[in-house]
Amino acid sequence: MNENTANEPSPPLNYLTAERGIWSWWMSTDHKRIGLMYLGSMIFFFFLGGFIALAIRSQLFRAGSTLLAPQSYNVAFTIHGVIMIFLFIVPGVPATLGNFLLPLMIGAKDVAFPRMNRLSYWIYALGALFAFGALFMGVDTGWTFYAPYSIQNRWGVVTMTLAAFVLGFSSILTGLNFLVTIHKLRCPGMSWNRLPLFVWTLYATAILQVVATPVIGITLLLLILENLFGVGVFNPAMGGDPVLFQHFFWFYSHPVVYIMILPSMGIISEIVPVFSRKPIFGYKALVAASIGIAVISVLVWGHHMFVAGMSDAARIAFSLLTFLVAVPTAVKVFNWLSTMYKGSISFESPMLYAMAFIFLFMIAGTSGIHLATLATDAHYHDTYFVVAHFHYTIQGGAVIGLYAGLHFWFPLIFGRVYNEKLARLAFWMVFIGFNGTFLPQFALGMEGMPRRYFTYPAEFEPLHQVSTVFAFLNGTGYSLVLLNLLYAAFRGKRSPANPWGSLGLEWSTSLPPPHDNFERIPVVEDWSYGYAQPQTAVRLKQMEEASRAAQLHQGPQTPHEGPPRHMQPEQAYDAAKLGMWIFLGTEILLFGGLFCAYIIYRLANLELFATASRHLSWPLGTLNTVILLTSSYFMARAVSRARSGDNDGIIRCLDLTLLCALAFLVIKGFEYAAKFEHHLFPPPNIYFGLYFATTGLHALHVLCGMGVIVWLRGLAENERFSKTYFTPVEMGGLYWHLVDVIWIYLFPLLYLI
Amino acid sequence: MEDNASTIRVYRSTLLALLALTVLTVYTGKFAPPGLGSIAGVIIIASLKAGLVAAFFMHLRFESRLIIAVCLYPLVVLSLLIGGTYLDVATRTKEASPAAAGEEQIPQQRSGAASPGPSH
Amino acid sequence: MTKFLDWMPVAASDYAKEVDWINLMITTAAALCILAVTAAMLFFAWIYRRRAEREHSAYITHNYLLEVLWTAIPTVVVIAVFYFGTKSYVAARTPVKNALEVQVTGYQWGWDFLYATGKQSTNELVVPVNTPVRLVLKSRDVNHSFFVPALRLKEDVLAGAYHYLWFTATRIGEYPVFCTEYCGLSHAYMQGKLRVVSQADYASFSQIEQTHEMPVSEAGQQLFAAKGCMACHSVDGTPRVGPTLKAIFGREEKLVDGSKIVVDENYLAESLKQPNAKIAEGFAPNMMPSFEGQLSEQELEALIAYLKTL
Repeated sequence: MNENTANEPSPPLNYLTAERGIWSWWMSTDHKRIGLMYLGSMIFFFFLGGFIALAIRSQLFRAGSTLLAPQSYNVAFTIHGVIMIFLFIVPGVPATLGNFLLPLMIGAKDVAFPRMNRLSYWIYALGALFAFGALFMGVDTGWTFYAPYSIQNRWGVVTMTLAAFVLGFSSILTGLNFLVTIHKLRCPGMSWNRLPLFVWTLYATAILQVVATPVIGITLLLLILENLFGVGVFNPAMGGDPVLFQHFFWFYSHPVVYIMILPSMGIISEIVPVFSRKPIFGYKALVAASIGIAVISVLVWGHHMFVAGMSDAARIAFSLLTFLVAVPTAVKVFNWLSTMYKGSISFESPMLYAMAFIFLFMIAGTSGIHLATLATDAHYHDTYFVVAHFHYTIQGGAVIGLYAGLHFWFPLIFGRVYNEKLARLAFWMVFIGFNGTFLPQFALGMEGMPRRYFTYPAEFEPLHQVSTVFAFLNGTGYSLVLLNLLYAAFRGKRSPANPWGSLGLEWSTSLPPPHDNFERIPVVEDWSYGYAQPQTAVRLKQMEEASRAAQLHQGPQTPHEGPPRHMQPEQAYDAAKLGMWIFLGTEILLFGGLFCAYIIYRLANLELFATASRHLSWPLGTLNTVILLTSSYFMARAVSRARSGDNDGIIRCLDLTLLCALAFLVIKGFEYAAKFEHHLFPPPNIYFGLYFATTGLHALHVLCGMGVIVWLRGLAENERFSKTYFTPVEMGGLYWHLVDVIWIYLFPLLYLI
Repeated sequence: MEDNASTIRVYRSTLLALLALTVLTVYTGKFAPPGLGSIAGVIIIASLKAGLVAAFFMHLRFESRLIIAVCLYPLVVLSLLIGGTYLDVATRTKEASPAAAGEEQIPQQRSGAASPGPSH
Repeated sequence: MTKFLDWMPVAASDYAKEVDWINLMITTAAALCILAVTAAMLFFAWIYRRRAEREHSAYITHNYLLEVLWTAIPTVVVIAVFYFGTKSYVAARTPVKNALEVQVTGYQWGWDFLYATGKQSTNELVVPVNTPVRLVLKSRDVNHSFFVPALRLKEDVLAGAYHYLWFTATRIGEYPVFCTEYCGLSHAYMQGKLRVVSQADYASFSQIEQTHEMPVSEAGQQLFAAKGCMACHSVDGTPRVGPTLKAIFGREEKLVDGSKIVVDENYLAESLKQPNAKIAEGFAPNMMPSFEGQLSEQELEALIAYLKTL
């Protein structure tokens, strides 16, 4: 087996070979290894979810089929949704190709926070573990967990929502990391208007990840609290509003679909110019469209709830806003088409997938119009029309985009090439199988076939049968893709440098890249879409030479502990500060959900809230407020001491902060004890449900803050801080002050009015 | 911005202002005539306090526009959440409002003892 | 193109036909867009396919006029679709005055219908043709959704709030009703039927049977269901908001004021007319509505006869 082409030196050290052994992978902070680990896990879950899908389609092959018992079917569609969404497509492109490519595309040696990146993956693994456990606990609520069906004290629901919560946290950290990376680690010359479009979509996605995910976080948390303690926020029997659950749920779950699709759109923007040998058409418009989609997507969540019981005014408002989000998508399609105009086009598998994306997304997007329109949505909602629509957008869009990217960057990731003929065969199987599966489902929806039915009236059978047969073709196609790529990853022929002739910066390093990406941080002089110019051929030649030369680069090959060495201290400080402020933003939104629930329920239950709040001791609340404000003062002093390099001073101030925090918790403990004595827990009404949820979550944050302070204190005892290094103290300080700010709002709202 | 006398002075003044505002909050919430005014009052005062903590303790007044934008954007998004849900709830007809409709109590089995569907 | 509409169920109202027209309009526009984009893409793919390794391609990066055009035109198109879709729907959300009202209760796993005359039916909704009908929807437990494909209408059915749907059926016939919000094990079996009948047939259907045609206790049982007593009083021993009525007659009951009584006809009649007069211990006042003036003496007797059988 000849792995080397002639004239190639013996296989160099690259990120794959730099260190060996499973432990080196698990502990790796290398964004490329982390991306691969995500990829491996996600592909596993994709096929698991796909297998379940085939079981579902098999059950639906015949009306009245008993292949799956009814409850097994109900569990199956729930699991299918949870796996495909939370374990596969939400981490999706950002966690895999995003992680792998982002630093390479902007000329950086890694992301801003490599250890946080590793933590992101560990958290994902933890969430996957919880989800796996929940698989066997018979959860049948659907991935949407609608209350009140989901709040009937089921441990399965608790486990599954905990899994989703944990996975959401992983998503937030990834988004945070990417935002800071893009802001702070662009190489010289990589200005905002030269940023590759894939990076722009990762940026827009990261914004959504950090602002939307905390809201599902608080929603799932409340669901868990309802199941465990009867907190009652969404329970109609306690005056809770199931529609409010849906508001909170979809406030995240609509932006999440744009988290799924935006990076795939970015991939298409990368592939089409390369294979058309033409600049991307309308770079600025595509950037504006990406940002536009990210902004509008936060405004339209109500379109999942047109028939749920919202007011008519809300229905109309959300319908109008939803139509607006269709426009930037259309703009993207037209720009991609125009890129092909007068190009010189070849049709290797990445381009096939890209063109398929455009076709499939047109169907996806236009079917969305039927659903955005109130009159037709009243018919189509919760029918197979919706199932077809979202499979076209997610599978026909996001997944096809992911596969396009996997085929395109495969030589970069593995340094090898796959079998192109096999890739094309697999592509056609996937494409035909997919359309055959889901096109009939539009018709089923028209006929009125509802979702989540394990059996159905006989007149729906023919279309179901067509759909099932093609689903197997679809699955076979994906299996072939997997086999092809898996084989090639280990045994494929070595790839020549820059096999596609791309001007992307990532192709200027070796295939596969070395551990630290670039021997020297590159300096960029032009955007990466400068095809069809006289100097293009020259540039491509330069890139090939650089890529081959980089194979000899031996540089730092092993990961290390300690502060990130790929950044200057000043850079690291700025990055940490930006990252911490973004994190604080997510905390604001986490608590914000609770404040929102408070406002809505207070306005609906003015008397209840006013009377119930008299149960709280406002003198104790005031005392706690004073204590916490004072703790902030001491914390600020601690940061001040840190900036002066005074480790002893830090310890003194941190001790005082800790004392205040402890006092706060002790007083809180007294208050809780009094409530338990008065039988106010489990909460008898919504006021106390919100009281315990909000103050409990806050107390948890106080506890975490104390943990952070103790850790800082330990570092100060080891004299770790100086005038040039005080970042952890300042970041800890920011976190602590936020805990204080949240209480500043909590106190009057709960105790005083 | 090292720790010197002026920094400590700033922090001390901030803390004093915060404590004073706390007294004002308690007065507005508990002793002033109740109603929309006192509710608005406590929220405004809380925002002032939060602003002081952010500007002085968290040094926001020295930070770049990017950081300030990062601080503000979540608030904008939060107001969208509150605004959107409120728009719905406030414009519902009586028939569809939470907790306000129906004399009839709908009994729920709370401990899950006899709830329909599987329990674990 | 109208062949496309063959996939839709038969339209049972004029509103349904209107929705179909909107559906057709959207689908036509969508199909044209998809066709145009796909044709352009395939055309470009063919005509600009790479014929030689070193081939000229044009250095074109943008065109502001095109961007404006293909942003503005889709915006106008979607606004138009929004307008038509909303206009029709708003009419569907604005019930006609004096519509015939039917109370719909969804539960795991069936539908109960209560007509204005006191008539009840389960899983089969009967309405008169060409008459505005208003459904008041409520759930007894979890979320459900009442979907009639033939009417192109659905609305979720929740506990804790009343939702409504209104329509005027214009075609006599039988149409399926589906639950379209997952509600547990037998969600797929929670199907019903909408039967649109002539107005005369409806009149005879909705008449409540005369009590002298059936045993008094059976009439009482019907009333018990019709008046919604089950919401607060179980008949199987489970305590709910109100005491269980199982074995109520002749039972010794302790009251909130400490006194004891034996449940007899008077106590039952008094409880129905003045529920707060004698409240059983462990239960709250001001819960049960009074049926004073709502029940004739005959109906009162029927109810009491039924309660004696529990």
